[in-house]
Amino acid sequence: MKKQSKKGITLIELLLAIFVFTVGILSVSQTFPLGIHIQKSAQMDTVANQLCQSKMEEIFALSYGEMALGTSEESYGSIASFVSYKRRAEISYFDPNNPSVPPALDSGIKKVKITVFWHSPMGVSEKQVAITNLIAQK
Amino acid sequence: MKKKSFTLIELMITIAVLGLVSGGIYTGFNLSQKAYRESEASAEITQNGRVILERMNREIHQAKEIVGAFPEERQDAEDEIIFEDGHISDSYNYIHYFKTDDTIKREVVGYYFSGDGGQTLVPWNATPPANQTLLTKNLEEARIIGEWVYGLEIWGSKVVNIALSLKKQDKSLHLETKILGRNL
Repeated sequence: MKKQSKKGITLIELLLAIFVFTVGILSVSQTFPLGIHIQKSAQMDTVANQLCQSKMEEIFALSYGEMALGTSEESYGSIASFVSYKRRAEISYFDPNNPSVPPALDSGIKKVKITVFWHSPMGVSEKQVAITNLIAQK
Repeated sequence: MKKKSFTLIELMITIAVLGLVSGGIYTGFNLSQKAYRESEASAEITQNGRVILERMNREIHQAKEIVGAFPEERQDAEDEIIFEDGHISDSYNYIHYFKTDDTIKREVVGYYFSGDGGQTLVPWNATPPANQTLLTKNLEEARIIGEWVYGLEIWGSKVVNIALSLKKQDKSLHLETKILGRNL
């Protein structure tokens, strides 16, 4: 009797095996939603980049004088068909000799910075992308 | 003899366990297939949208002139655009982007006078000599540059606006961009 019980698999062993197997399957299945989220996140990056570029092009279309100094912001919900994005445009004077401090006087160069913000499905913090361009007076 | 064989109970437990295990495997497989299909569809529309806008962007940036009167308002938007290729300086090549079914195609066309045997390319709005007409010929045949498109709107003659909608299975993506033609 004792000899025979050693040869087989007990119910406990079997249950343990199933449990381990289930844990394995569950952890593998967790990666699928993760993959979809990463995909969605990449898609949102693409959209944000396009929004950023469009705004830059819009400002490029203006003449140097028309580019008004200051910050303008389109808050969440205000960009038609892109309600989950926020966009900020900052225009300031620029001094090539002292790039970090915007000068008070016009030296013939303006700095345009466009920043787009959004909430990625990955993580809770706000993501952002920015492009900066210098525009010289013609 | 009796000890060596399976009892009915043992057999039923085996079948039940096997059922559970194969059910689990099936669910896992199904899930992976679904995840694969979804992320593939999503990646594909993102990629197609990006490529379409990227290509149009580059060429419209450099465009010399848009053919015909182009609508300024979104409600009058077109689903095609023809403009003069700004990358070619010694001839008149016109790039045509248009939507057919769910694809965006690109072709290059040229205009010439019907009496000109050499078919020298002329501007789209050139006035033909008496008794001749302006004809078009294909310089590069239409090629698909993107798929899964169900909406294309183009408007604005100075700053060209493009709104693109893509859809595959239940995944959809909407992209919009603006392009300032540097030579327009």
